[in-house]
Amino acid sequence: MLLRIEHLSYTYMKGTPFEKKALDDVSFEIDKGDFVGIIGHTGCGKSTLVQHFNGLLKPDEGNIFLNEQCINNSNIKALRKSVGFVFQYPEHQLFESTVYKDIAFGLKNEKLSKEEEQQRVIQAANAVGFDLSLLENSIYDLSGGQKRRAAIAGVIVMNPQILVLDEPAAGLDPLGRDEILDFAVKLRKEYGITIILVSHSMEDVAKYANKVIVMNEGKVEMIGSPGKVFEDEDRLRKIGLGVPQIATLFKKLSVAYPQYNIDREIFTVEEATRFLLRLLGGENK
Amino acid sequence: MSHVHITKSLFVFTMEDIIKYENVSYSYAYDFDDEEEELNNIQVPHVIPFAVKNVSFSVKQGEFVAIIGRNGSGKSTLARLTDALIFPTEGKIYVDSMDTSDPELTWEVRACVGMVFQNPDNQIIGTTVNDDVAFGLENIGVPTDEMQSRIDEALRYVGLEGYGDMEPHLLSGGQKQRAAIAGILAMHPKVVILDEATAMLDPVGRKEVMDVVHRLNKEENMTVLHITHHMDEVVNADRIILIDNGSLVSTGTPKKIFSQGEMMRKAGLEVPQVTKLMDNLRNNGIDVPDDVITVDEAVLALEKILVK
Repeated sequence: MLLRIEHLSYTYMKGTPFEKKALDDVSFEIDKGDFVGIIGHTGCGKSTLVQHFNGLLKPDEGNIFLNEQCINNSNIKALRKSVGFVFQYPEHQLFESTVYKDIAFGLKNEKLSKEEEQQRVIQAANAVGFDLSLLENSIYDLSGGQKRRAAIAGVIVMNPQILVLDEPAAGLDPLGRDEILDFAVKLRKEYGITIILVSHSMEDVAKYANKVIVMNEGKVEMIGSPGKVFEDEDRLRKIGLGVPQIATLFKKLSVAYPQYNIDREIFTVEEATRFLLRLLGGENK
Repeated sequence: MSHVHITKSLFVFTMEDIIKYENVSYSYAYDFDDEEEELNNIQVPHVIPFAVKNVSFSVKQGEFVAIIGRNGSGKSTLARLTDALIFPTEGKIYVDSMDTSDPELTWEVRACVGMVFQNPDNQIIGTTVNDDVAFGLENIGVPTDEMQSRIDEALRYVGLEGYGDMEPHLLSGGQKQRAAIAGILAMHPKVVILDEATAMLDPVGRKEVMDVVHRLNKEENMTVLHITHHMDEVVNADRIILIDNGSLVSTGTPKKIFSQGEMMRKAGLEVPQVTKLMDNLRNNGIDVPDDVITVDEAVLALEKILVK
């Protein structure tokens, strides 16, 4: 078990009139190599939750275990190295004069030799598909997509075990969004990094995650595989979330045609195509 | 600055062209003063890149037009041109028969076209919701006694009645964007432009904003230009303008645009999931229509086949 959350509760501005319970008895586990999608509407506690993973917030109650070690009061520095955090609009956090310096910034305390540093920066830049010929450029000369990649490289360079991505695709067009999320898949596959994706997009979570955590009013509302979670469309709608179009379609079909044994856990276009072709016996070109 | 007629009616029921783009081109490279000093500091590229290239189309009063295109395709530039924040390098834009390039009319054009930007936090300046909505009215010189009634009316319309005294930072994202819309409505514009105004909102906030905008369009015949990457927000538009690389690629109903999957893919965009599913089935020899864009249409299309 890579990350284990036990009975986590957190209250903002405790003891003031603005007191607000943001997390209420939250428990779950994340395995090494998982691609976890955390969804929920604004104010459901998902950002508060992930900020506990690298010690930005400390639990009021409950425990967090990383690699079976309780991290509530442990060495914050080591923790922050293990859990990389990419905030929303990460390109706003670029500040160095060149891309190289910005990516290398986190390594300053590592006491690496010039060669080692260079190797790590290049590896990180490659991991997110950043064009190496632009490393000596000013961060202001980059396009939006390149900036976002450079910013993520600056997190990857620390070799985290877990990468938390908070709405990484906000404001990007469909192509840019796919690029960023495909890199996350690559990082998971090639570098074994566990990915935690905080998102509003059901389609993205459906396409990429193997485990979905639905948050509502500070509690875990649902947890499980995307298929299992999207099956309960009514419950998701009740808490202000939608499901991918395909999930709705297959639910409607399964109700209308019980005789066809329609799989209610289908939620991506690819699965839907395969299923319907099998059912309708289309020629496979 | 010319004075704005505050008596202008919000509700004009005509089907005339409210906006007309005639061979509009725009290059940011031209956007510098001619002063020698500045020219020495910038590198003028050999080929001046045009952000908008020879675009012509018109929008009718009361039309709901969605503008789609990948990042950097020129959508926002087009929006800024329409609101006279920048001016065409070549060609002309007419808004309510006013030439946007005419410096005498700049402020009238801006009063006619209300714009909501992407980031809710970058466009709120008032210390209360009331103050924020009042800001635009102060700028166009609306008398104080008329102001409060206009503010109340606008806040009621966007569903923020009773929020007037609240501090804007306590609002949710969707509420902030609706407050921004109220700030525009109070100025009685004829056109509302949403420049990716839903990009930073969650599904609930997006729905709140889209509901208000659709109501404005249907009930008040407000002309809407909606720029977005969310394809589910454009299925109900009267018309889609597809832009890529600064040029107009295609225009038509959502059904017409979405049925051209290859064109959409080339423009870096995607079609709704059910449209893609129908495409896949058709490519495998199954007879389904090419203009399915909603779940209900997909159910209908599949019913015809499954019943057999």
